[in-house]
Amino acid sequence: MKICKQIKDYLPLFFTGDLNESAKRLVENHLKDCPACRKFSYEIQHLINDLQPDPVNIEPNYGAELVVKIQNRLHNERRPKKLKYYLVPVLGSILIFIIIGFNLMRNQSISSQWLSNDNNIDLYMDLTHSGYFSEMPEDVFDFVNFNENDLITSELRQKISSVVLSTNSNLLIDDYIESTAFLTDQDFESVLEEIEKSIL
Amino acid sequence: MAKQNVNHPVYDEQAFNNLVRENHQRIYGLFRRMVGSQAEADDLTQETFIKVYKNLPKFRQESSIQTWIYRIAINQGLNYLRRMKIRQTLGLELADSAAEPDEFQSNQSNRNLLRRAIAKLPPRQQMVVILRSFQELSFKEIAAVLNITENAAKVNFSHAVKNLREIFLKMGVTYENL
Repeated sequence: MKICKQIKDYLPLFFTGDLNESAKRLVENHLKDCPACRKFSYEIQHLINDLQPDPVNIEPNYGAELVVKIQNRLHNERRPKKLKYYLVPVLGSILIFIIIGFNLMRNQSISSQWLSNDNNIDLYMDLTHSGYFSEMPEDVFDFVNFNENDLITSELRQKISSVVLSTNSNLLIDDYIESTAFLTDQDFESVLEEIEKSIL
Repeated sequence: MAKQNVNHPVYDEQAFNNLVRENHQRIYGLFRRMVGSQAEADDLTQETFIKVYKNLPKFRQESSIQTWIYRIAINQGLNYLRRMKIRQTLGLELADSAAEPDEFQSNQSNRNLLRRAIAKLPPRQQMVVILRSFQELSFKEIAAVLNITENAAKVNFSHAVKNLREIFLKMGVTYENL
């Protein structure tokens, strides 16, 4: 019955005391007459009772230690980086310049020519995700012909799946996982399904 | 780009350190309830405050700084939960590792079962349950930190509790003896 579904939706909030008066009365009256919902309500009540705050023990000096750890990390981040940390971005930039130069010499549209190769789309997405480019140029959007959300979701699904199937690099996988932070729950579930499909 | 507000109340290092001391219990407590392990909770707490530090110049004082910090922590937490879900799907992580109470101060087996069941919920539902039941936030506060409506927070909680019941049934836990 429809009313039973509504009551079941209300029950968790009924037991946490977050229902308004009229909804509360509706639940109370219905429970008197409906044995199935009454049984369901016992289970929900028990669950809500179990969901009580669990004290977390925090060492008295944790706050002071945390301040030191954070300051150390911030201090390390502010220190000039060694040459090896510059190496990857510098080599990446040189590679891009070579590709652009090559295409300029051939007198064709730079991005469309470059992106017409599937591998280069992957490379572009890799570089974008790893922060080489702050945003995607408009002509790339035109080329890919997706709206932004489609691009993010479908690219993510494909990329995570392909990265998983082709490498065992946890670091690389984590990069893509970071990108799921702004997906809706529904999109995130789709990403999970896509990965499962790729594995199976 | 956000303009740096050098007159910001917590812009200097000493003020930032005070901010960490004043807020660390709530943030660490949230992560401890979410991940179970002290080391991971500590990492997430550090990450959160580093993000806070880096984004302080962008803080527009539209909400209280506590709410703003909490929001950063929750995003950090949601990201962590999603990471765990994906890693579990990939087989890189044990299915219940997010809920393993390795050093947790609890000897109640049903508490552990509850943690394992919560870890199976979708990330946002997990977060709402933890915030409402363990962190004792009101739905209004949950709505503010998750940037959703109060009604959406209630609906998420209701779904989460009903899903928990289903998960328990699948785990063979029932409340028939009540």
